[in-house]
Amino acid sequence: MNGSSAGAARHLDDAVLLRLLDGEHSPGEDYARDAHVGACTRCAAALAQLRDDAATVRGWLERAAFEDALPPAAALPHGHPLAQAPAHGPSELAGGVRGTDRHGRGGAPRSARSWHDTAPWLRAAAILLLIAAPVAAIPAVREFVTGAITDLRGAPQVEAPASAPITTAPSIIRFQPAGGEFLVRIDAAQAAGTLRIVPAPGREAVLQLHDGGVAGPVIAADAVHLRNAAAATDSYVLYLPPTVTRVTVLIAGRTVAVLPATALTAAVEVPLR
Amino acid sequence: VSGVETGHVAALYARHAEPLRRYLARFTGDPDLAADITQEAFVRLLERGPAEHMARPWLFRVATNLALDTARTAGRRRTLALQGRAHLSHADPAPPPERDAERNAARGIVHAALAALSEKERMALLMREEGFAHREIAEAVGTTTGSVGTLLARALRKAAARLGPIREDV
Repeated sequence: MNGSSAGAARHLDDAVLLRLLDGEHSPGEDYARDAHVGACTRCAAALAQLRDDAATVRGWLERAAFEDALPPAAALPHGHPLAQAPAHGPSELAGGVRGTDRHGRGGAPRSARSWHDTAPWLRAAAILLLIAAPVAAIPAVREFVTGAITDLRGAPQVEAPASAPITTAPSIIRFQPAGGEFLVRIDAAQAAGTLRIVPAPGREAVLQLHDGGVAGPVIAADAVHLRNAAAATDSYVLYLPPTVTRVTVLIAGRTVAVLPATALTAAVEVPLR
Repeated sequence: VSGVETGHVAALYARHAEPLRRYLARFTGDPDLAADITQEAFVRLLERGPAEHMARPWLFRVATNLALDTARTAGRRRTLALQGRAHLSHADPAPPPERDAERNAARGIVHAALAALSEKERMALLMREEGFAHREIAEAVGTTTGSVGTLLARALRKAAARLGPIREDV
């Protein structure tokens, strides 16, 4: 049985085995193929192996838990224009067209009042709101570091994660340009502190450093919390958009250095004590 | 012309954004990029999406193409990278260090195994994990429904061989 053949002596190919595994075989195929797998040790073993492989892959994907590294998907707020069910009357629906898929097949009927019939200002607002809703859970800081600076003053304040007691305060921070980016090198386990970047008057993003003992930045609504592994020297790469005018370094809430952005075109060392 | 009502986009977003982001995070190994591409895919859905009942496979196909384009141009600036082990966690507070370390190790192993697959194999395997039918996977990767099983079997075997049995120490 080679996919399309019903010959009992022929073994099932991968396509058929996958269809069996995924329950995608047609009812007409069921009996003959089930019977074959029941009688053919080779095909039964192949199916079992495939099932094991699928379970292995799934197990690893679940263990890796990539989704845990994602921000929660924000639901569009109640009352959001995009969350409103379309309230088209019969007269509007009368002019509806049928959507077609890329093969030209007919789709479900949809209203004549499509997206492109909507007023331009409403379209713009809708796109902004669509983007804004999920982005609310994603840091405004990202917009900052990618150059699309938004006014962060209105961003919700997020409580910084509790810091472990300061053990070793960094004694120096090195800014090392690398193309349009710069490396931030910290020479000791990170004490609670703040690296504040002020890209323009009235706008600021805060990169707050905490001693968490966990390597990996945590992005909050208004800050990037860089967690330095205890007793380790670590480096972070940040991108400074051209609009950045100066960098302010704060440790434990105290300003220890203010650097003009132009100073970051060369390596800069900021002694902290 | 978009075939998706603006009023339905919220429902589509609520239904598909998380699976799409999970798929993209696995596909690219970059959760941050996955979030960006998810947003872009929904904006494109608004602009020129298909009829609503086609939206799910359309979103995954468009998002995959965006991810591949990004990878191919290789011009994306890593805006924030933690050397050698970059991953952004939006969870606050962070998980315990040992759990975080386990997950990072597992992510590294899984990412390496998936990166060893061809683009079509990776796409097919991960779409299968999201519950897509063979017909939808076939359409997304540009093959026939009859041969997508062969593609999936090959992808599963290759990935499983690279991953090996799940170990307690990872």
